[in-house]
Parts: sequence; structure tokens; C-alpha cells
Amino acid sequence: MSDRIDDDTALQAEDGNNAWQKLGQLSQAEPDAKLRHRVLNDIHAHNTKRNWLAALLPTRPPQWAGFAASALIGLAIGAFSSMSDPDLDNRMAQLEMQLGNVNQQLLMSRLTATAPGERLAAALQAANLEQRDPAIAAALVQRAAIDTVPSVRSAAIGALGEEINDTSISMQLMAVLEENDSPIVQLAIIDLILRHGNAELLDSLEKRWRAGGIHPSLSSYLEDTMGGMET
Amino acid sequence: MQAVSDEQLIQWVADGDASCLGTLFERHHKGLYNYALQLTRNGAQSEDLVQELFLRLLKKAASFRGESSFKSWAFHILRNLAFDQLRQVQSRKTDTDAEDVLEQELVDLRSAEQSAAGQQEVQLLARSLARLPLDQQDIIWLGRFEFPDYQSLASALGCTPATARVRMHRAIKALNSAFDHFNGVPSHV
Repeated sequence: MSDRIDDDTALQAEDGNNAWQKLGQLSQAEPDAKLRHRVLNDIHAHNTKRNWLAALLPTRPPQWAGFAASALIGLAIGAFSSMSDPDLDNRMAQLEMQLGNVNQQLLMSRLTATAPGERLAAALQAANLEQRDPAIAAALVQRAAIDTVPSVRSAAIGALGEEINDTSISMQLMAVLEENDSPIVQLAIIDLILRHGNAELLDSLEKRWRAGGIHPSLSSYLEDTMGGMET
Repeated sequence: MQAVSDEQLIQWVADGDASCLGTLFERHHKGLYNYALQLTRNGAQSEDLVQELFLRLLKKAASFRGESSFKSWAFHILRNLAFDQLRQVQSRKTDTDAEDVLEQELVDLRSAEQSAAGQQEVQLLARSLARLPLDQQDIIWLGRFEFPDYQSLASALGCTPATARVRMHRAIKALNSAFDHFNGVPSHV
């Protein structure tokens, strides 16, 4: 038998009045515009209620694992701090290092999360880390290059900070600048170079701009900043 | 083709990005509302049901397993909500006059355009449909306007495709009889 209802010949045979086809002419009613407001308000209220909790609690299984590991290590640090063992300093240092690793894994997992909001929050969190492993910088560069959401790409770029001067990273970001025609993403790279870039990067950016390789809407911004800059 | 599938959007909702539900609302609210309207015959009640459905989707997004399409899943939940509510409000079927008024209201809500264009036959058909038992209105509406194949229709109804087909045949037969009745055609049975 055909799976499509329209092609069901036995059904058509029973439909002496051709009601099936005539029903198609029936117009659909429009719901009141207030329905949209009500549902969007519900979504907003749900987001607001969840946000403070989400800041504390992870939402995905790997993050729960990291969260649990952090809590256990935290408890262990608390227990050791009450001891007077001569090796205490060593043990504390080891535990702190483990905690740092767990946090880093957690951040890496959030940077590749499915939800764009989760990736955006992870990129913003990465920007505030005091110490950072090269693996996180590499993950940020990858987000900057391939993320489907421009705001996540620009946040990842902004999070790189002074690491822009690392040759490998700067080369990859200049490639992103060349391939990416989103003005938001280009602006993030330009801002990063203007704030943290060395003379070589500034020079490279200016050459690209003069050659027309930057989005036209950013020209006046570059004119204001680089126009008067001696490179 | 849509850039992001419904199934991906509900996954993002499950991952904590509730704003993706707004996109799903824009895609499906009209169909959901009209389906609820067919069952409840009341505009305000249908809007309440759609709002309640989206609240449920927010809470239950993580339980979507992708065994059917998101659309089938959403209609299935709405169907359960509507039938639960209708069971509680038994007063609908107590009085034939009240039934006629509700039926007329439903036709009026739907067919203002048809009325203006003088398409009486379509109005009559809408009225015939409104006269059928709820489960028959249910399957005809979903099959005609939302799910073009028995597989997806069955997912929304929570039955097998073969059952959906048998039920559809019975419903169409009943619709034709009701239509004949309104047209003054004597029953063949």
C-alpha cells in the first residue's frame, strides 16, 4: 500500500463526495497575536529562572562528571588542609593541579557543546582565565574558524587576548579574517589585533585593509584607528 | 528546506537554550492552534492549550528521543492535553442546541473567507466534519492538514500506520454520510 494518504485509492473510492479534496479549501484560523506574547514570556521566564542555576550546575553528562570530580577534589583539599603532614604542600599542589585539569576539561567540553549559548558562555569564561593551557587556545581558534554562530566566533576571538601574538595562532586568525565575510567576526579580529597585536600584525592588518580585504562597513572604523597610526 | 531542523532545535532547547523554542513556535503554532480549535471548538481554550503545550515542551525537551519527528511528537502531546481537558469538561455533549451553537462558532471561526466567497459547499463540509465523533475529526484533520503520510500520522496518533489507515477510512466514510445528510441525500445504508 502507498504510505501517502493522497495516493490511497481505496480511500478515494470511499470518498463519494470528494470531501478529502474539498477540505483542502477550508481556510485556517489565525490565533490571537497575544498567544505569541504569552509563549515568548513563558520562554523568557524559564530562561531567567534557569540562568542563575545554570551558572552553578552543568547540564550535560560530561559536565556533571567534571562537576562531581571538582567537588570531590574540593572536599579532599578541605580534608588535607586540616592535617599537619609534612607532605601537605605537595599533596595540595597535586590536588590543585588536578582541579585545574578538571576545570579545563569542563571548559573544553562546553566549547564544543551543541547549544550555542553554552559555547558562547564557555568562550566568555575562557577570556577570564588567569592561566591557560595551549589546548584551550587551540580550541578557541577552532571555534573562531568553524563555529556556525557569529557571536560565538567573535567571543572566541576576543578570548584569545595576547595569545594573538603567537605565530601559529595569528596565522590561523588572519586566515579566518580572509575567509570570513561576517563584519562581526572581522571586527572581533581587528579589535583583538588593535588591542594586543604586535607591530607585525598591525602592519599585516593595514595591508589587508588597504587591499580591500576588509568588510566595507568597517572601513571608517579602521580609518579612525589606523589612519592616524604610525606603523 | 529549513536551515536548522526542528529536531536540532528541540535538542538545543534540551541543552539549555530555551530561546530555540521560539523558532519552533513560529514554525508550528498556527497548525497546532487550528488542530486544537477543531477539537475544542473554542478559540481561547485552544490558545491556552497551545501555551500549555509549549510549557510542556520546555520541561520535556530532554525526553525527546527522535523516534518520530518533532512535529509528530508535539501534536501527540497536544492531542493528549486536549483529550484530557475534554474528558474533564463533559458538558459539551449534554445538550444538542449547545452543540449546534459550538459547531456554528467553529465554522464561523474558520470559514469567514469561504462565506464571503459564497463557498457554501465548503462551509457545509466544515459543519459535517464538526458533527463527527472527536476521534474521527481528529484523524481527518491531522491527515488532511498536517501529516501527509500514514507513518507520520500514526506517530502523532500513537498507533501503527495500519491502524491509522483503517481509522482514516472509517472517518472518511462517516464524513461522507454526514455531508449527504446535510445535503438532504438519503442514506444508502
